[in-house]
Amino acid sequence: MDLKSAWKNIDDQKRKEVFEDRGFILDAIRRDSKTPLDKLVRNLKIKIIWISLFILLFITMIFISKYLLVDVMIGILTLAYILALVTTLQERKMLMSKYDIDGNLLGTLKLFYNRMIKYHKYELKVAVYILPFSVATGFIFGFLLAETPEKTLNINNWWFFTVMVVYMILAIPIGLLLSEKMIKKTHGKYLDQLEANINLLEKED
Amino acid sequence: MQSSQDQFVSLIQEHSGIIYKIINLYVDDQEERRDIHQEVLLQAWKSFTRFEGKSKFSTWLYRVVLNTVLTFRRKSSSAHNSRELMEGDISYKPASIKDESDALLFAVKSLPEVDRSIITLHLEGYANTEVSEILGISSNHVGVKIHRIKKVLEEKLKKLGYGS
Repeated sequence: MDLKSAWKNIDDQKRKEVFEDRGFILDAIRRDSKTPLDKLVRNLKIKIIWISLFILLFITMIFISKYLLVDVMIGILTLAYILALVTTLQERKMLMSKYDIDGNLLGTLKLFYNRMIKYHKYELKVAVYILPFSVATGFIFGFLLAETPEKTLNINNWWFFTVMVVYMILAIPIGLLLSEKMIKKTHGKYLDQLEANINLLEKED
Repeated sequence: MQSSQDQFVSLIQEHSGIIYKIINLYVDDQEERRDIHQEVLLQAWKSFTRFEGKSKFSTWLYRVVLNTVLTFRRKSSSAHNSRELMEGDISYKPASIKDESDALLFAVKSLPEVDRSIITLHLEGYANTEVSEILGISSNHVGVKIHRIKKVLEEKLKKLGYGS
C-alpha cells in the first residue's frame, strides 16, 4: 500500500463541518483558555483571595485577644500566611509568564513539564507554611470566641503555647505527606504523560 | 482592508483540515474534540501576531495544533482503546474500516502519541528537516524514527488485511 496516497484519500469532508462556521471560530477566540497551566493560574487567584482573607482575620484576632502569648502565636501564623501569600503571588507570576505555543513540540512539552514541577514544589512549600498552622489557628480562634466576661478560658499559659508549637512541628511532615498525595492524585497522570512524550521524542531509536 | 481577525478567520477556514485531522488522531470523544478545537483556535489567535509569514501558514498551524493537543489533553482510559485493541487482538478489525485509508487512519491512531505526530507530518509531505524543526529533534533522528514507524504501520496494516 502506498501510505501517502492512502493518507491523501482520507475523507476530509467531515473535517470541514465545524471550522467552516465563522461564529464557532469567533466564539472560540473570545473564551478563556483551559490549558492545565491556565487552570492553575485561576486556582492560584482563588488561593490568593483566601490567604489574604485569613491574614485579615489574624490581624483582627490580635486586636480581639488580650493575651500576650496568644498574640505571639497569632503573630507566627500571620507571618506564615504572609510568606504563603508572597510565594503564591510569585508562583502565579511564573505561571503567567508568556510562552510560545508556536515553538517546537519538544520545547513546549518541556516548558509545560517544568512549570508543573515548579508548581508542585510551590504546593509543598505552601503546605509547610499553611496546613500545620491552619488547625492551630482554628483552636486558638475557637478558644477566643468561646470566652465570655464571666467565663475566661485559660489559654494564656506556657502549657497551651507548648502544645500548639509541638503540634505545629509534628503537623509539618503530615502536611507535606498529604500535599504530596494530593498533587499525585491531581496532576500525576498528566505529568507522566508529558514525561513519556518527552522521553519518546528524545529517545534515539 | 481586512482586519487581522478577518484574516485569521479566513486562514483558519482555508486550513481547517489540518486542525481536524490532528485532533481526530488524538481524541475520540466528541465533547473533548470540541473543547480542543476551541482551545486550538484560541491559542492560534493568541499567537497569530507572532506569525510573520516566514514559514507557510499551514506549517505554523501544525506547530500550534500539535503543541496544544499534546499539552492540553489529559489522556482518559478510553483514549487507549484503539491501541489496546490493535496490540491485544490481531484479528480485531472495526466495522468502520472500509478501505485502506480507513485502515491507515486506524493504524496511525494506534501508535504512541509522539509517533503519530511524526508519521502524520511525513504523510502530509513535510521533509525530514521541516519535521525536525516542528518537533525540535534532529533530522537524522526523524529519519530513523520514520523508518521504524513505517515498519510498525506495515505490520499493523497487515494484521488488518491491508498488507502489501
